[in-house]
This record gives sequence, structure tokens and C-alpha cells, in this order.
Amino acid sequence: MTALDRKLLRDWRRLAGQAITIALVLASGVAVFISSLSAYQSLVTSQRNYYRESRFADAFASLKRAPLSVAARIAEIPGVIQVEPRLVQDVTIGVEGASLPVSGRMIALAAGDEPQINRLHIVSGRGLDPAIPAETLVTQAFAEANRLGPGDRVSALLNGRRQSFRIVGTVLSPEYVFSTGPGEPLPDDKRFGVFYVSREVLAHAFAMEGVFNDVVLLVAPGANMPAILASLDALLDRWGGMLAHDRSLQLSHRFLQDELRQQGTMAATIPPIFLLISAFLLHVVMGRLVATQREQIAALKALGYDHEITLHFAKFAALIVLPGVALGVAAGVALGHVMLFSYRPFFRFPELDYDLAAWAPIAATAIALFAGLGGATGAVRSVARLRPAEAMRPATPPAYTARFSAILSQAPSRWKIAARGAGDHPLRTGVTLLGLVVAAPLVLMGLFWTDALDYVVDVQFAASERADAVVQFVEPLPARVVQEVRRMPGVLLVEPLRIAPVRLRSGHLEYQTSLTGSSDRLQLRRLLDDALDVVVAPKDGLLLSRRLAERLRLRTGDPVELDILDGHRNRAVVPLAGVVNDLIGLSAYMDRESLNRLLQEDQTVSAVAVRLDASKADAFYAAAKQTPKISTVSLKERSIRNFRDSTGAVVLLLAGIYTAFSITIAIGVVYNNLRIGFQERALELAMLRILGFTPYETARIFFSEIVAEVCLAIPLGLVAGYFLVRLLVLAFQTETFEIPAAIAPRSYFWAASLVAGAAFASAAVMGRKLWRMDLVSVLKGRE
Amino acid sequence: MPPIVFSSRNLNKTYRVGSVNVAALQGLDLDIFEGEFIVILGPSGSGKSTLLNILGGLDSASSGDAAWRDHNLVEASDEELTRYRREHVGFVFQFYNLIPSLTARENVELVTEISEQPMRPEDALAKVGLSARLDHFPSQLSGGEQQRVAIARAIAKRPDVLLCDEPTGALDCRTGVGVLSALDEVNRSFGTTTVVITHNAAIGAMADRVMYMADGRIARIESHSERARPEDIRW
Repeated sequence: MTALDRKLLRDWRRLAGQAITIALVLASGVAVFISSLSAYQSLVTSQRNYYRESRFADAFASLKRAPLSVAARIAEIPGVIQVEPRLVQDVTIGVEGASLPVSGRMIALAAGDEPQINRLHIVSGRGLDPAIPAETLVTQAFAEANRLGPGDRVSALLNGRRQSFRIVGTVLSPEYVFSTGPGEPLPDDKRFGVFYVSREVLAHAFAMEGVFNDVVLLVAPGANMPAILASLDALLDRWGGMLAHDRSLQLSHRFLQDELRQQGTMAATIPPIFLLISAFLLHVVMGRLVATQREQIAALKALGYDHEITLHFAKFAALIVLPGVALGVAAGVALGHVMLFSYRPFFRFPELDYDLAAWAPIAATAIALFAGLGGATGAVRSVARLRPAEAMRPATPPAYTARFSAILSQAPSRWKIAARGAGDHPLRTGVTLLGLVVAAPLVLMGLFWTDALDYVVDVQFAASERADAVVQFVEPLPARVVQEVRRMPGVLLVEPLRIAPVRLRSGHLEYQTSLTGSSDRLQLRRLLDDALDVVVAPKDGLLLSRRLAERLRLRTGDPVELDILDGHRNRAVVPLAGVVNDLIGLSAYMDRESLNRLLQEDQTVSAVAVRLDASKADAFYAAAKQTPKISTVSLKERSIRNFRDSTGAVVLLLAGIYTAFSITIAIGVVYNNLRIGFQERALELAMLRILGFTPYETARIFFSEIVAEVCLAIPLGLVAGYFLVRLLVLAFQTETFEIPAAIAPRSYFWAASLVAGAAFASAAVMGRKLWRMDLVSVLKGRE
Repeated sequence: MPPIVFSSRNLNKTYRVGSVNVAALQGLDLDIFEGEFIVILGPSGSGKSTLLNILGGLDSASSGDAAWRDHNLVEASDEELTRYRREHVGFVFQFYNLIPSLTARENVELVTEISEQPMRPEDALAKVGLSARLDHFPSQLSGGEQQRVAIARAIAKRPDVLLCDEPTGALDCRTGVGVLSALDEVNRSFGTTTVVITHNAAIGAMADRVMYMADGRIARIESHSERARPEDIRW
């Protein structure tokens, strides 16, 4: 071992405290980076594998009813590989002990025994026995949420007749990775499940022998999807075809894509920020550490060392960087596994396989090494430029100017030292400030998710959707049904709604959603603009969710083509009258009477919004379950819980991890910055002690600058955090919902407190050093 | 005969460096009288700086007695040593150690702010011939000027003793003589007891007494009835 290498090891041991904290900060940055990326990558890979193995359909269509011969004609459309006609019926389900209304979708093959498209994965129990009609398979999520399993029974109201089924197995389907009930914006596994039953039962109950009302297709790779969908629409038009669409409009797939996209965005935005901030810290700290060895570098140069010096400090940097990166990668892989494991309840794939792309650890290592070595060698170069003799003399006193003299003339010396120390060393101050400033946004970035979700709940469920429940009917009914609902137990207020499926078109862009007939008298379903003021749908115009208008590239006044997919399937062109601030879902709204006219109906109602007396809610649910006309009842309370349990839970899981790391990094950043500041000024501080200043007075002088820096850095950090969060949410908009850049005051408070707390703790550590400072050795170190 | 201000008997200081004990002072006896100008000469490692550090309350002895008037310097606590430095001692170091972010005047003010009956900073700086450089920062001053600011800072609190560790060590002869003149002036006009440690034997000529140190003891003392003027010293 060379003498220089021995110096290396001893230097490391001497600076072990700092070396370890820097390595930990770096490890945190790398761990977040690796874990987020690998968890996301694993989800994407698992989804791809699952779709392939289960032969997930490429195109979907539903219709009123068509003879099976039509299915054969669908198979002849160019590009179609396989067609599977099915019977699909939404029904009311009876689960013993469930007080809430439960709805289900019953699916049976219109021909054949085993689905060849959207193959089921049996989790428990066995498949259907075609010989036993009263058997059903149920989706695993519904079974879990309702504590059901093979051997349990459920009942279903099939066309007015209650029929009992025995569950023989629980399954996963690529079509229902997320199962969203009709009219619900988000999945609710407790209240909506998918049931696979034998053809005989369903066909018999709904008089659908020899026909189908739903079809799924596999198409050839590279086939012309729009052409296939157009042919499908044309073919099914006379059979009451509703909506031929590809995967992009399939509810589960769309929700899954949104969730994945959100995960991907989170993985692609926040962890790199973590990594870059820790790399930045590393860069700065390495530079400053090396700079404190000025005399040694000069001495080595005088002895004839040259490039070995740079190599020596590069090794020193590597000794800090490499263990940090190694720890980070190991922790990242472990955490990635943990994250993936926590995803299991949300992403119902048969397998979640851990997948880490090789480039991620390589990139993390490269960034960290580059930052660390860059900082170290940069500092070495700046010292090495000096002639050895010059470098060995103590550095000339740093230059100061009298620019603050007028203001400061009456101030105590400690404020002069602080103000000039900060003002005349913009680089040093800037670096320290930047170190302190980046801490707050990191924390805000972790904390704001909770605020954002609270805001969504407040706006969407408290200000906009104010009904406690929305009752949907099997089919549109005359307006007098509203009074029937009004007479149900616990109902305080009712408001009629007319909701119709609609396809919106603008140029070549189109989108299928629901069109809600609204009225200015409505209290329970209010439309809000960006300022959260109530918007009223005009008599002769359409309102769209803002993101939908953006998606269709529509501005107020632009014409929108409407294809109503209900009733007489009328078409109309209506101008866009304005946009609505919907945080969840993309919807269209118009005046209810105008909608009735468009539908050529007389005041029909497809749903009723209800305000409930909470104490009588159970009686209301029970009555709703007994009313055959009612297909589903969506409950606000459940919607909020679902929102928090689904999207909310996944987002908060990640946010929690980020918050933990952001706190670690914030503390590391603050501590190291202040610690180095202390190191750089140790001699000055020792001098004050020699002059007779007590440790307390010396601390006041030193900490005045820190207090000023922290006081400046916190507000700057909060402002930076605000803009960072705004930037982040832009990347997070999905079709399902939008994350608002709403940061609650308490998050600002916590971020500020954390930075202040970290600074205070670091200051306490340095205060102790200040008290125990060995004046003689500081002087010796210098002279 | 003026009263004794410093006295030490059988003073020992042992440092532990790794596993080796290094005896920096070995049974040192010393008396310093009020108003004296003393130069301590000796090679590196002879114990000069250790002695100065103990006299100045920066370090404490391992055994023996050391006192400034009635202040016991061996048994004093950290707080007592801080108060002692603050009230009685002025330091001047080889590398000046000014606060770079304060002007000459403000560097002096730093000390007068915590002193009982200080001089006006302007007067202290005038004493060392720096009236024209009051508002200059250390980086705008030459080495000699910086050292004179350090002297002004040391004397502004009207210390009873001025301790100087190689005050001309980083200076050329002409500049160094200017600094010595300032020290001489302070000693003569205020009667401040002054102790200068140096390698530079020529400086001994301006002292009342010159003490030669070797191996942690005072090997020899040389008294001068007549002190040389700093301007006449050359090296």
C-alpha cells in the first residue's frame, strides 16, 4: 500500500461521520430511483405478460341482441383473428349480510364452453361444470371484499326472478383487473363483481337463446383497428350496436393504464430529482472537503506528485460514492420488492414479477460517480493551479466590500459578519442556500399528495356531487318515478337526472362518455368552474369537463357532433358553451329539457340524485334492493372511500416512501451544508474564543449567519416547492382523474418545520463542537 | 522593583501523541514583572508556544503552578480561562487571524464590544499608525498592516499583558520593524507587560530580558539595561 493510499484510509476515518452521511444521502437518492423504476417496470412487464397469456381482447362491442350467425360475419372482417360472442347482463346481487346494494355483471359464452379470449385465471376452487347450471365463478376482488369463497352462495335478480348460485371458484380476468360498476367513476370491489355463469341460465332468464349481446375480438398484429371498428359498427348497427371500441376505451384497461401512467410518471419525475439533488450535494461536499486540504495538496505538489494527487482525491470520492451507490442499489431492489408486494391488492395480475432494467443501476452509479468525482477533481484542479509555494501559504483573506456598511454601521459585529459573509461570498452562500432551499420542496413533494386527494374529495364530493346516493334505473322511466323514490325511507330530497351514453366528435377526434341532463335548479349535482363557482348548462349548448375539451381540442363556441347511443340514436351538432372543473372522470352536460328534446322523449329520467337522512340509510338500501327497476345505487360515502382506497392508496403508498426519503435527504443536506460552513470557518471561530468570547457569544456570531440563511431559505424553498408541485401535477393528469396542485397550509408548515428542525439539530451538534473546540490544535492546524 | 505579574514553579506540560508522551515543559520556573518587555527565544520544540498558550489561558498545564497575579492558571475552569483572556490578555499571532469580513475598525470593535473600559477603536488603530486605513478590509491591507490591526485589536481592551507568537514571522524585515515599533510603543506608553516568542534572535535586542528556552526549560536569561530601538534592528 502506498503512503498516499494510507493517507486516503486515514482521511476517510477522520471524516467518517461526514462520509457516511453523504453516502446515506446518496444511497437514499439511488434507492428511490431504483425502487420506483423497478416497481413500475415490474408492473408494466406483468401487465404485458398477463395480457399475452390470457389473450386479452383487442376490440369490444356490445349490442341489444343479434343471432349467432352475425358473429360469423364479424370473423370475416379483414384483420380479425378470433371472435367470441357472449351474453352479458348487469344484475342485482344478493350477498348474505351485505347491507349495501350490490350489483354484478353476469357473463356467459354464447357458444363453446371455455373462453378463448380473456381467459380466466382460477385463483381458488375449480372451473364451471357445464352440466350444473347453478354454479358461478366470481372475480377474486369481489370475493375478497365480501369474504366469499368456493362453497358460498350468492343470489341474483335475473329479469325479476331471484336465483341462487353456488360459487365454485374465484378468478382473475384481464378484462376486470379493475372492476368498475356501471355509472361509477372508480372501482368498488365490495359493491360490484363479475360472475361467470353457464349459458343456459343466462339465456333462459333473459330469453336470449341463440343470440348474443356482447362480442370480443382478437385482431392480427398490425391490423387496421379503426377500419375494423368501423366495419364492426356498420355490421352491428341494425342489432342495436352500442360501442365498438379498442382497448383504450375498455374501462379496466383504461383505469390500469392511468394507474400505470401515474406510477410511471411518479417514477420518472420524483426519483430523478432525488438522485440529482443528492448528486448535487455530493458534488458540493466533495469540492469543499478537498478544498480544506489545500496545504496538503500544495505539499504533495512540492514533493513532485502531479496527476497522482487528482487520482488520490478521485479515490477518496469513490470511497464515499461507491459504498453509497452499492447501499442504494441494494436498498432500492429490496424496497422495489416491498413496493411490488404492496401493489398486489391493487393490481390483480396472476403474477407480479420483479423486473429491474440493467440501465437503472448503471445510470444511478454513473450520475453519482460523475457528481462525486467532478466535485473532488474540480477542487483539486483549482488548488493545483497554484504554485506549491503559494498554495502552502495560508490563503489571502477572502475579499469583502463595504457595501452594507451604511446600513450596518450601528449593528453589532455579529450581524456585520453574517451580512458580509453572506453578501460578499455569493458562491459559498449560494451553495449553502441552495442546499437549504432544495430541502423544503423535497418534503412538499412527498406531503402534498394527501392534500391533493383531500382537495379532490372536497371539490368533487362536497361541492359538486352533493347527493348522498344516486339511484340508476334499468332503463329510462317517466318522470313520475321521481316521486316514487321520494317516498322511499330516509329520502329527504330528490332531483331527476337524465344520463345518456354519447359519442362526441370534433374533426377526427372522438370520445365516448355519458351526457348528463342538468338543470339550474339542481342542488345535489352542481357543475363548477375553475374558480369553483356554479356553472349552469345553457339551453342551447354543451358543457364538457375541461380535460375532455382539451382532449378534443375544443374551445368555447366550437361545434361538437353528438351521437346519442340511446333511445332513437339521434345525432346533433351543439356548440361548446363552456368547461367544467371535473377532477374525476370526463363527462358532458347539457340542459335536461334540451336533452329530452334531443332524445325525443317526454321528461324521462334515468337516475335520481338523493339526499338521505343518515340514520335511515339502511332502510333506504334495503328498499332499493327490493326495487327491480333500480339497477344500481351509487353512494357518495362509498365513492369517497373507493377513491381513497384505489388511486389514493397507491399514490399515498409511493408518497409515503418519498416523504421518508425526502426527510432523510433534507436532513442530510441541511446538516452537511451547515457542517461544512462550520469547517470552513473553524479558525475564525477559534480566534473569537481566543479573543475572550465565550462559547455562547461565539455561537451567536456563527449562528447569526445560519439563522439568516435558514430564514431566507425556508420561504424560498416553499415557493420553489409550490412551483415544483405545479410542474409535477402537469405530468400527472390522467383520463380518470386529475391531481390538483393543492398544497395545504399544514404541509407548508411541516416542510418549513422540518428544515428548521434539521437546521436546529445540526446547529446543536455544531454548538457542541464549538463548546469543546480545542483552541491550541486549531491554531496549530493553521500555523 | 515592579511587582511580579506572572509566576510559575515546576511547571510541566505533557502531550500524548499516539502512544508516546511528549514533554513540552519540564519543571519550568519563571517570573515576569509588571511592564516588562520579554522576548523568548528558542528552537522549534523547545516549548515556547506551549508556555505562551498556558500564560494566555489557551491551554492548561499538566502539573506545577502557574499564576497571573492571584489567578491560578493551572486549576482554572474553561469559563474562568475565557474570562481571564477576555479581561486581561491580548494576543498577536504570526498569521494575524483577523475576521476577513470586518474592516480594520470593526475588527477592533469586535473586542471593544465585549470589554469593560476599552479604548476607542480609532485610538487603538492610531496607536499602530493605521488612522488612514480604518475602513479597509483585511484583504485590502498588506501583511504588516494586518498585523498592526491585530495589535490594535489586542491592545484596544487595555490588556494587562500582550502575548505575541512570532508576530513578524510572516513579514519581511522592513514591515516587521514597523510591527515591532507598534509593540514597543504600546509597551512604553501603556506599560503593558509584553511577551514575544520568536525564532528571530535579532528581536531580543529590544527586550528588557531575553529568555532562551531549550527542552522545555528556561536555559538562560539575559537582561538588558538599555533596550534597542526597533528601527535599529535588522535581520
